[in-house]
Parts: sequence; C-alpha cells; structure tokens
Amino acid sequence: MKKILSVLLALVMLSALCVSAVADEVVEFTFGNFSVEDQAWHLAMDAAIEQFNADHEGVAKIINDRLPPASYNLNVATLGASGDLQTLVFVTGDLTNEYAQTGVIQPLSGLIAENGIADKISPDYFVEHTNNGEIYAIPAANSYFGFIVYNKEIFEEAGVEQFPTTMDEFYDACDKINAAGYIPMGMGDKDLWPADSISFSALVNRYCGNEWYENILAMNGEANFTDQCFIDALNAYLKIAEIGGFNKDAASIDNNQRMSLYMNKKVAMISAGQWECSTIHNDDPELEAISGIAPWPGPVENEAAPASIEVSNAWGIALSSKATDEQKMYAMEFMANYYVTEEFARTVIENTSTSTAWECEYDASKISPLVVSLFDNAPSWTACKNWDSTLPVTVKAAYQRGLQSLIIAETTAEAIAEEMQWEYEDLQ
Amino acid sequence: MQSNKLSKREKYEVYKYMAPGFLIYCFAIVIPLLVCLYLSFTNWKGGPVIEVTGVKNYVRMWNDKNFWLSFVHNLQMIAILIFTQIGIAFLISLFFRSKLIAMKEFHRRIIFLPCVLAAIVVGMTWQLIYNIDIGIIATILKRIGHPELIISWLDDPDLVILAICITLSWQYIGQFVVIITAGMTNVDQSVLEASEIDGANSFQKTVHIIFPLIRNTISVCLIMCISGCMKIFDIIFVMTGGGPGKASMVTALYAYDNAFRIHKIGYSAANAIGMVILSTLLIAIVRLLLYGRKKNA
Repeated sequence: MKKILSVLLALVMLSALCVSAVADEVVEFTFGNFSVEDQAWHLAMDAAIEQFNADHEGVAKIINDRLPPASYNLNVATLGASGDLQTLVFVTGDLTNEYAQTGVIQPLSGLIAENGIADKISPDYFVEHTNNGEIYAIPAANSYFGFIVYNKEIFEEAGVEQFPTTMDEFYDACDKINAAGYIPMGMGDKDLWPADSISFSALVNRYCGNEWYENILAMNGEANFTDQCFIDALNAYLKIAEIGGFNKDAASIDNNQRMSLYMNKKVAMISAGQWECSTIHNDDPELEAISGIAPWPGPVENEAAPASIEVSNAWGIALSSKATDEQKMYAMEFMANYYVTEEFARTVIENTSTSTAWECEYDASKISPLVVSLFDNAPSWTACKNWDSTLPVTVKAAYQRGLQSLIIAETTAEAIAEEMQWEYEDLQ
Repeated sequence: MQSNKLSKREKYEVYKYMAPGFLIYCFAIVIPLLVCLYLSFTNWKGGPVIEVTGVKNYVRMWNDKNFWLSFVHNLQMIAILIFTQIGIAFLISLFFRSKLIAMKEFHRRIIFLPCVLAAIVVGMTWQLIYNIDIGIIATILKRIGHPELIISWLDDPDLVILAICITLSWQYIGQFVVIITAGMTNVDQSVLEASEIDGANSFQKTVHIIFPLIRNTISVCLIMCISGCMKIFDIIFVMTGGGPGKASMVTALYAYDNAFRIHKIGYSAANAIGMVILSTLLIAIVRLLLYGRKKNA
C-alpha cells in the first residue's frame, strides 16, 4: 500500500511540473554580465532590463544573470565549454573568437544590420568581435587603456618637473621617486591581465607599431615574437622592475589593491584603464585634482609609433547558438531599443566616466576631469590594440605568465619571446 | 562446521544497502573519470564538435616542460609537507602523551580547527598575513625596527612554494595529529613500561618502540599527504594563481588553466589522467619503500 502511494505521489508531482511548463508562455531569456551593484555599469544595465521587462510584461522577460567580475570569467568559461551560455552574454574579444570557432555563439552581422545597431556603432569597433568576416558580438564599451595616471605633487617633490617622454627619462624619474621615498609605479598583476591589458600593450606599440602587430594577428610570417622590436620592448619593461620601479608585491596583489596604493599616495603613478578614472573621481576628488594623464614613454631611437594608447572594445555581447527564435527576436529587440541607446550611453558616461561603443550627448561637467583630459589629448596619440582581447588564447597565456615574472625581474625577455613564439608556431 | 560465507539472501541484503553509495560513487567518480579519459583522446575546446585525435595530447604532455615543471612543484611540496605536516604532527602527538600538557582536549580541538575552514578563507587570511604592507609579519618587523627583513613571500619564486607549504601545514597539521594520536593510543602500555624498566629514555622509546608500532598509521598519513599534495588546487588558486609566473604552478592548476583559460579541454583531460597515473606511481613507490614486496601490507 505504501509503495503504491509513493508511486502515485511521484506521478502527481511530475505532472504538476509538466503542467506548469506548458502553461508558462512568457519568453524568458538570460543576460550574463558582471554589472553587480558595485560595478560601474549596473545603473544603466538595471534600468534597461527593468524597462524592457515592464514594457513586455506577460510576454517576455530578461533574467539578469550577474556575477562579480572575479567569478564571472570562470562562469563564462565553464558555460562556454559545456555549450550552455546565457542567451545574451558578455564576452571578451578572444572568447568571441573561441566561441565562434566552436559554434556556441551565433553570427550577428545580419541581425544588427536589420535592427539598426550597425548604424549606431562605428565599423572599427566590431573588429575585436569579428571572426572570418562575421560579427559575433556587439561591442559594449569603447575605452582607452594603457595610459599613465600620475601624482603631480609626488613628481614635483622628487624633482621631476615634466612627465618623461622617453624611457631613459622614465628610468631617471623612477630613481628620483625612489630616492624621495615613494614607489614609482603601482602594479597588481595577481590576476595576470593588468601587466598586459592596461600597461604593456601600449608600451610595446611604441617599439613595434601597429603594422607589426597586425602581421602577428594575420599569421602571415611577416612578424614573429622573436623580432628585436618585441624583445626591446620586453627589456624596457624589465628594466623598470630591475631599478625598483614597481612595488615588490606586484605579482601577488590584484588590480584593486594596486589602486589602493595610488589612492594612499604610496606610489607616484599607475598605468590605468579609463574606468579607473571614475574610481579616483568618486573616492578622492582632491587626489584627482593633483593627478595628470600621460602616454607611456617610448624608446629614444627607432620608435615605431609615437605616444600610443590602447583603444579597446574588449567586451562585447554575444548571442548563444541555443537561443530559440523567440528568444533571439526579443534579445535583439532589447539590444536595439533598450541597450544600444543614447539614454543608456548617457547614464554610463555621466555616472562612470566610461564610454559605450555608440555615441551620445552628455553633460561634460559630470564626468571625471581626468577623462575630459583623456578625451582632449588621446585622439592625437596613436591608437593601438589591446593584446588581452586580441591575442590567441594559447599565446596570451604564455605571454601573461611571462609578464608576471618579468615585473618582478624573475625572467628574461628572450625566454618570454621564445615561449610565445613556440605557442604561436604551434597554432600555425 | 559453520561456513562464514553469506547466503544468497544475505548477499542481496548487503548489495541493497551498498547500492546507493555505490551509485553515487559511480556518478561522482567513475563516470567523470571515464568521460575524462575519453576527452583526453580528443582536441575538444568546448561546443558541439569533438574530434578524436588519438594519443596526440599524451605526446604533447610528455614533451610539455610546463607540465613537468608543475609536477616538480608537487614533488617539492610533498617533500616539505612530509616533514612539516606529518613530522610536526608526530611531535605534537608525543607532547600530548606528556603529563606537562594541561587541557589536552581543548588543545586537540583548537589544533584541528583550521582543518574545517574553507580553502578560500585560509588562502585569503594567509595572503593578508604575507602582505608586505599590512600583513602581520611585516607589521611586527616594522614595529621592532627591522623593515629590511620584510620579504615578499608570494612574489619570490624561490620562497613561494615554502610560503604555501607553511599555510598548508597550519591548516592540516590537526588532521594528522588526530590520526597519529589515535595510532599512539593503540600502543600497548606494557611494552612502554617494560622499556622503561630496561632503562630506555624518551627518545629511545619514541624511535625504537612508538614509531615502529605506529608504522601503519604513519603510512596512512604518508599516503594522505601525497594524495593531498598531488590534488592541491584551491589554496594555490586563491593565494597565487600559480604565480609569480609559473613558480607555484601545480598539476591540478595547470589542468585548470588549460581547460578554463586556454580552452584546451581535451589537453586538460590528458593532464588530469596524467595526474592520476603519476599519483598512483608515487603511492606505489611509497608502499614499496615502506612494506617491500609483502602481499598483505
């Protein structure tokens, strides 16, 4: 009797599940992102999603599947490997390429042309998310990376009157700053990306230039990682570590901890990304008032590109291959009418001093003066790519681990170049 | 004469009670291992397409100096932790036998407490301890007027493994103290009393009586230590991420990197199978050294 009752109960529960599944006609889809409450874009994201859900009540609903940045990358990597990505998902350029090749995200070229998104965003911004001529992700931000934010008062105290323009002047400045009792440059590379993404990518372009890097990406044999320009760039970076230019714990603290060093005036400068200017703007306006912006210095001779700065569309929004037709329709409607909008862009820039990949009118008085300075000066600098979001992942892994050893002066430029070249040749 | 063999009915009862545990074991251990073995023969990067490539991953792994470097780091940790975990646990267990220690139960519980802490808690705590700005070691050195002695433990490739081993020793010493203390409790008191009558001092009793009699316990501890070191991942992931560079990279973390940073899931599966083989070999060697070729060891 007990067995019969148990079986009946199980059947009732199962049928209740089926009924609820059938009765639910709302098209739900997930949006994977890292805009949690202490992250820069959450105001704009939350507003856009809430508005969409309100306008489509009973018809469609976005589930805001957000995680803190530290766990987001692992989440995306795991879901991508299993082919279970969220319907809409934030991905970096290198992941866009990987997932395009494995087929877990779908091409968007036709969709974004149909719904007008392509008209709002410059074609150049899609480059990092294009694979074999097809666009696979809609760029979210258009940011400057790899410029130096420096404390003018510490520089003056150390006797450095102008920000250096050559690496020799930079080393000299580091010596003076060290003598004045400060650490020259804050670095926090525990997570492997800062030493590359907001630092070296700009420096290396001054030695090698955009054409060299385009040849690397094209794998046409015209450029290799064992080329002298790249080794010279690595040696220039290594010398900063050798003269005590970085904090001693550069490899074991993260990017936020290194920002704390700058905020606490223990370091004279940091190599930064645009989003970090809003941190200084919000947390310490007095420090912001004495901070300046400068490009990375370059070689004394044979410089390949003057005053380089990374212009990056690192993050993009991709659409899962498993999205149903209804989910795809509503997802693209959300992107076209709620996300890629002037209102969204204005909320982002006025609250975070970061820029979306599409333009808008905004109140310049609300954004960080450092970013205003960046907007005024950066267009005259050489734009270059962010290696973190454009290098093939296998080469990037060797490169970033190598840089982490380099910033504590525990490896050589040649060793890194050799390992990167090995991975690069393996790809070809 | 009564047979000690189970009847069919009794066997059925035994299997019935074993079945749920066995099914969970298969689901959680055996099936993933078999899937991992299959994936190790492919070049899968995620997604719907899986291409079988034969032993290519194993050939690559054989020639991969980064994999072998990771394995060397595992061996270094084993070499250090055998002494710091088991050795110190043995000494602490001896102290617990002494009448000089009061509140033994309290001490046993305190010493075991770190074992139950989550790895992320332990990792972040010790990361702060080692911090050269705000860490307790640096603060004490500054206070006593020796800031020049401050070392960046987690940034020095020569010291990072040692720093991690100190953390692991702190965390797991309690576990071995409990095991060894239990083993020592089983040592016959009359043997010890007889040795005292024969004039044996504490050191002689420890080396010639206690240690040989708890040899099986020590071998269990050794196997636990080795298997723990071979699968170590969480503490290193939190504290250093395998850095600086590759100075604290271990095989489990290397497999993780290959799977989730580099998206070479097939190769990562081969790394995992390689870990299983190497761990089995290590444990076999340890058992051979401890027991020779005895069948029933």
